[in-house]
Amino acid sequence: MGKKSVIPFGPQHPVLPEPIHLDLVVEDERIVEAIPNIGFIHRGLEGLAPDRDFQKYLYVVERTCGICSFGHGLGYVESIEGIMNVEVPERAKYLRVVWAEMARMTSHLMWLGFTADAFGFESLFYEAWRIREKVLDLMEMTTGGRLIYSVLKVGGVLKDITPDMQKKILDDLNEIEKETREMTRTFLDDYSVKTRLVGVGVLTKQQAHDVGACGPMARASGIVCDMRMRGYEAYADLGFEPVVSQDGDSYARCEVRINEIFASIELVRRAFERMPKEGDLAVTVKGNPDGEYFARIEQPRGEAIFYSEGHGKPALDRFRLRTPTFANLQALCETLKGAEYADVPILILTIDPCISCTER
Amino acid sequence: MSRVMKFAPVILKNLFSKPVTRQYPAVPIQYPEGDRGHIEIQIDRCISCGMCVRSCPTGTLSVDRMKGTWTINRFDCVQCGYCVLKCPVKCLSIVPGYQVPEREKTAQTYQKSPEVLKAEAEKRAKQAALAKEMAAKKAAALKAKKEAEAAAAAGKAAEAAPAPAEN
Amino acid sequence: MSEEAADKKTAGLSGKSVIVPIQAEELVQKAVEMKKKGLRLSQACCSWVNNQYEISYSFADDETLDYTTLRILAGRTDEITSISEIYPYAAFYENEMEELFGLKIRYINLDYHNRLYRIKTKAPFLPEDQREVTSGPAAEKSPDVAEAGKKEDAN
Repeated sequence: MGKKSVIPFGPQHPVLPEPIHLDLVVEDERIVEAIPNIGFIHRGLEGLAPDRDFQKYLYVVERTCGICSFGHGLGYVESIEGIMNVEVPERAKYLRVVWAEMARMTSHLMWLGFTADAFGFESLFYEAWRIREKVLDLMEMTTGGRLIYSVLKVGGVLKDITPDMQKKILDDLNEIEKETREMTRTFLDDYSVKTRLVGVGVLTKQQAHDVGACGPMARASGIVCDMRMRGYEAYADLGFEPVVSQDGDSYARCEVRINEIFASIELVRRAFERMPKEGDLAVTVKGNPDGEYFARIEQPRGEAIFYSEGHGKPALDRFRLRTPTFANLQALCETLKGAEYADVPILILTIDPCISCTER
Repeated sequence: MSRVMKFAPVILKNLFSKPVTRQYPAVPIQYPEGDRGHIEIQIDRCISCGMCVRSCPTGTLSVDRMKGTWTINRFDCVQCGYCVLKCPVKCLSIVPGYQVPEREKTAQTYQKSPEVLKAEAEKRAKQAALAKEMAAKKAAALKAKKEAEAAAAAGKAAEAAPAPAEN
Repeated sequence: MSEEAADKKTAGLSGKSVIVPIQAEELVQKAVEMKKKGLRLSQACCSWVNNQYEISYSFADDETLDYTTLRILAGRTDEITSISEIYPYAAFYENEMEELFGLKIRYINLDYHNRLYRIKTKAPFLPEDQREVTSGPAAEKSPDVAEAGKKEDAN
């Protein structure tokens, strides 16, 4: 029995991309308990909903976070369309899937970079971000923005992907796939990387269920929990299958995210194949939202809940956004228990924390 | 060997290939078409309706109808493009090229040219005159109608008056 | 009405979304039932509509993809019993509700005492005239006083 002491971790720490504070109760080198402390960047974005028109508020929701921006926008329009019973044109559905999957690729590639940085593999970090840059360029070409796309609207999308763009995307995706495969060989097979990931922060299936984990965190522990299985937008037609791993350690989480990149590439290809060649991009939406709706979307980090409640006024009475990191906080505390102090940075990163989403 | 040197081929490849980054200030950036950089206005086509002001999520725009100005605080603008969508005469557009940083947030004001302002003032005066004429006509018509109604009501009231008294 | 609309939209999707109204006292018992069924607490949130709280606890079934929301209506001074004993991670949601809406929740296992988001304003998501509690906590009062407090709020 060693002496217990409390080590504060964060909010400023070289490994943390965003501020989160953890009080780590440490016994010798092992962590006994971790208490998360958030609230450094709470902006009260949910509170802006009652002051703004529901169409205008979409742009606020999209700017909750730079990485899951498309996911936030998609969830918000889904929730409004759910209340107002809007049927989105077929082509718009496929375009949304294309953008959502490309956004997932950028997010996962970014995460791979951060993780490489956390275990001290600087050149691997740059390699991941170099590939991500190519996806960002494709996004910029099609939507006009690199991170915040603003192509959604209640009832459809604003921009179209022309056949030229489609060809460029498909060509670039081949290249991206090849390069990602080359890079991920290091993540999955390299000896030094494996020593940092295998068996670190194991979360069993039962534990993952008990802490309410979602997204890649839950899927790495063998729980099949992917909101895309609900078949929103065009996912039902695309034959979507979730990526699951069984081990529940950091390596499994890494594996799940890597395989999801390839799954996303495949989904984009399939979406282009099955997309109607022509068609409306949006339907006109009339009236104001009256009712409530829970929209569930699979964001890169996991299941996000968008709850909108309106009472016939132009502005919503309540908008609520539950982000995946908020649900995974408890999972983080659980994985930290019993871990070595030196593994803390990598464990914080394996939940893919997005604190600005979490605090909104 | 195969387990430890997994990254070596990538490093070797990178070592002998051209840099992926651009020599930025020397080589300018090529923005793709349709990039959302900043808002531009063709001020002389603007009708000062204020739709953009009402649609802006951050409230960074303001319009003065009388002076014929359109003001934007570019540092508060989030480049969402909603004003461009809402503009009824499509004088707003969102074009590539980002806002350069400055020390302070400053507002930028666009002024309509004197000819346009003069034409607008004339048009307004004409419309005002027309409206006045119409209003006078309407008032006269209304007055006549009211008088007729009053006369009719007086007749009716005389009949209906005993009814409420019973309650 | 809202449920009908939800049904139409979810017609093509797998998993139903239902909202079940319950009493505040039933919450813990219902949560135990949900736990026994093996459901995951997906979210909990609160809103202030028609001068009362609308508290939603949503449970997700990962196998059938169903979504069940327990809905509680409560007055400004009512107290809710935390379900963090049953679902430990409910503590974060409950702290959030407490801080942003000024809703009183008893027995949270990890209570941040309104310091989760470190904001100056008390209950910032309530309308301004509701932020200050004029009377003490409902638990300390006799039931009729609590009733009177509710009526005041309704006005």
